[in-house]
Amino acid sequence: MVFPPPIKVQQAPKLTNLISKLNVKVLPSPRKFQNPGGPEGRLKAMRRTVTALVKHERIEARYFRADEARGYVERLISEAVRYGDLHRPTMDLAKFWIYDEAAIPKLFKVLVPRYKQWPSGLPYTRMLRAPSSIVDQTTFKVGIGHHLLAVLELRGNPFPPLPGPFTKPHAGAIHNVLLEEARKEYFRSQSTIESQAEQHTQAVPIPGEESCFQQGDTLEQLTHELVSESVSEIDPPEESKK
Amino acid sequence: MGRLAGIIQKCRYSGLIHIQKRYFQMHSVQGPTAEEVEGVRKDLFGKLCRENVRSILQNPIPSVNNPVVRAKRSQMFSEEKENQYKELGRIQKIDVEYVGVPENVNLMMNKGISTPYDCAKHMSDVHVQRSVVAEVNGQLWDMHRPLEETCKLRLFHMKMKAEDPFNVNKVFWRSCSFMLGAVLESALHEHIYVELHSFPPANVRSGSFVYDVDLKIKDWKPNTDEMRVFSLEMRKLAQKNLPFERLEVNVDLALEMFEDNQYKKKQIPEIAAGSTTGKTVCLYRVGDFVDISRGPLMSTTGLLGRCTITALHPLRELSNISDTLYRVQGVALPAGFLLNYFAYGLIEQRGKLLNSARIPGTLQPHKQISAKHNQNQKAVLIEEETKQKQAVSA
Repeated sequence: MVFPPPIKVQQAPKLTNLISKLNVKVLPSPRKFQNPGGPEGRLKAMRRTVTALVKHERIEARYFRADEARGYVERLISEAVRYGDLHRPTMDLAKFWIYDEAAIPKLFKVLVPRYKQWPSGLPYTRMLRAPSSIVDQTTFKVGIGHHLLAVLELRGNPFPPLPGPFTKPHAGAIHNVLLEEARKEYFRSQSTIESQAEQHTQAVPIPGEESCFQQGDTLEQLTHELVSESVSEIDPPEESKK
Repeated sequence: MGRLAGIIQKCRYSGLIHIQKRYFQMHSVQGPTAEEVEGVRKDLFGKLCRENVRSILQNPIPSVNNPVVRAKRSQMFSEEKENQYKELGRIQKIDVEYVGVPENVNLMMNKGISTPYDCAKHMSDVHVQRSVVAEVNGQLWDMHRPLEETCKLRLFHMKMKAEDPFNVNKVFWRSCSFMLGAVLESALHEHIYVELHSFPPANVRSGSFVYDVDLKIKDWKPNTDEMRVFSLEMRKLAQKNLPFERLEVNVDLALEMFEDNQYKKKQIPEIAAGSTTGKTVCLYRVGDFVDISRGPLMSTTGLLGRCTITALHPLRELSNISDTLYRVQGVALPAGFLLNYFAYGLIEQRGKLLNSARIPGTLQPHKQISAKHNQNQKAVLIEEETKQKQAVSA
């Protein structure tokens, strides 16, 4: 026997089954909502919100509760899209979070096909601040705005779009013009492949051109455009090759 | 040469060239008198101190130098302004209808005397400070240009939200070019007679504001510190918060004013021919610096915030006007625009590329010139050329 024994070099574990990356901000630790039932009661309340969102696609809730539930919903949908309904852990997860059994098929039959071809970087949900008569919106700080309301919805829902956000980008302001031109110059100086990529990443719409920010739901329209672009832009390079 | 000879004679007379040191008596009870101390101070740090005399002897100051010319132009400007004011005669009143925040008001102002700046004083301090240009009857109007008739007035500023501030940006950029000219003329030592050439039409999208200038120094490659001095001079000019004064003068007077500048002298007849009356040239003054510009320029220099003079490109190979012609470029943000240093750095980097505006003495388009600075872009251009050739041959 050889002494010392040869060291067995173990291969690094394959990084295959990682958690999919969420496109919303999630706090490092969960919020402790006050509840007479304790942590269990908190979970029950969360399940109620998540189930309601999957069922109704657009709900109104307290801001922090909606924000907390958003992370769970995003995770649930991303798992469902990834593994499908034949995966047992995913099914268990869905059964836990959606206590209404009639809503579970909706997750896999309606939502999963909807989010199968989803642009990367775009979250599945959308949250807006709702008007509240109780408190002034300007005093929005952590720890104060407990009675603020929010609207949480799934993107691509069949309801008429919500108005907002009401802030406009100031593309004409001098620093924005300079930065936009610097961005274009950068892409121009890169090779042709990256200059093609530039057309995909239009940062700020120029006010002179068609502004999609004047009417209706902005983000919603943007997503539609993104989806339609990603489909249509696959074709032209093939034609050019021919 | 007369001025120089005078200075040297003065030095000899005062004995500064041969006898440089003065001595105090050792062990004196009283110590040096105030006069003696003053004399020593003059010898060391005064105008005729050894260092100054040496530099004057090495680099003689020409009789036509920048401070003299600047003072002369400024004086002529003031005189002409006074003359024009005298010609006004009896004061007449005009109605000015102000449209905008906080409310629409009618003001009664003096014809040919009151300016939009005066109107802004009736609104609030904010209007006075932030207004860059005015709009009079739908036409852009300098803040310090007298109103001539009954009109509708609006005041524009840099952070307009309802409107696209395209024109205001342009005015700001043009004013930056103008201020850069003022800095270039005054920043260098007197023995270098700087002659300004011109600045191209303002274009914010080109990434930098420009002044083409004949610096009379061959192959100068300024280091970063020297460039920083230019930037600091711009900031100093901004801190003085000087107004941009506007004056329309006759061609003859303009020619007399700019007789010491060989380039402007040639440009003035062309500019006058292009003006509405065909005989006048529009001049602007900041402090004691006078230059030609079609305008409008912004209200005061205080509206300039962050500023960097980014690059100084020699145009020796690109233009046939002069060997010592340079293109000086810079970037700036208006006062009150806070930008992250990284983002500002991106703007600065872009400002270092040679500006695509037309270079004096050439008619070339500039894409090819700017491509010289960039290898990748050059390759693309070559590809395009070959493609065109193939298409032609086919």
